[in-house]
Amino acid sequence: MARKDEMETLVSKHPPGAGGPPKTPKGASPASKALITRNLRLAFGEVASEPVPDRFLDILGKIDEAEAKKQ
Amino acid sequence: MTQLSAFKSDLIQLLPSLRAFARSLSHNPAQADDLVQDTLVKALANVERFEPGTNLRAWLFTILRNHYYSQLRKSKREVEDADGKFAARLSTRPEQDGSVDLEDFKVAFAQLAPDHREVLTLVGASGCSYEEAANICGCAVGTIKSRVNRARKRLADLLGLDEDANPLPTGGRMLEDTANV
Repeated sequence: MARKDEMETLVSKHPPGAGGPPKTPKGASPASKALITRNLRLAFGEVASEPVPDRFLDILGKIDEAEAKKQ
Repeated sequence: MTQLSAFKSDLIQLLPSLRAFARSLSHNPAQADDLVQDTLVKALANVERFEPGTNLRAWLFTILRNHYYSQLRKSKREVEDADGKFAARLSTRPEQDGSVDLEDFKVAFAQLAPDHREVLTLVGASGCSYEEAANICGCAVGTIKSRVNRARKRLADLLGLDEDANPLPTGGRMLEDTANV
């Protein structure tokens, strides 16, 4: 599968061309990792705290209908 | 059928994070909610294939993810155009103290490839273990780890972090925060 090829690429070499060479050979610094995690959680939490649209609950209401029929 | 009721209440509890996961994959909030809706319909249609007691979140995220990618294949060009709009808006530098504005962060995040957005969301934001993320994405744990590292590096580059001219402080608290990513 394509996944395997991708993994080999990840392990063995940097992607050619696109995006240019990495600025440093290693990954993001610990401070950057922390900053990224913090912002990911903020962004994720923002969406997760929005009220759930009724249409989703309407769909789930079908579970009750299905149950009612069985009884 | 209390089992079905339990399934429903678990589903309702997972809706906010399912929505947030969808939003991290699809930039468009309306499209993201359509993804969630389709996921719920699929989940209900296949409810008997879910084994009670197993990981419902992983099951739902997998359905949503597979649906997203099958749609992405159908409308590749439209998605690329959408990405272009986000790319045009990014002109950001980190603050002197190394922090970045959340809106800038979102713009940079939106520029990442979908597979990078998803691993960061799963592992970084949703708190999935590497194993859970590997299960959801249908790949090896090692692949997830490499992908998370590359995604973080790419995001740091997009945000102008880690540049020599702007060294960042590495306080103990920040290091602690990275423990589970």
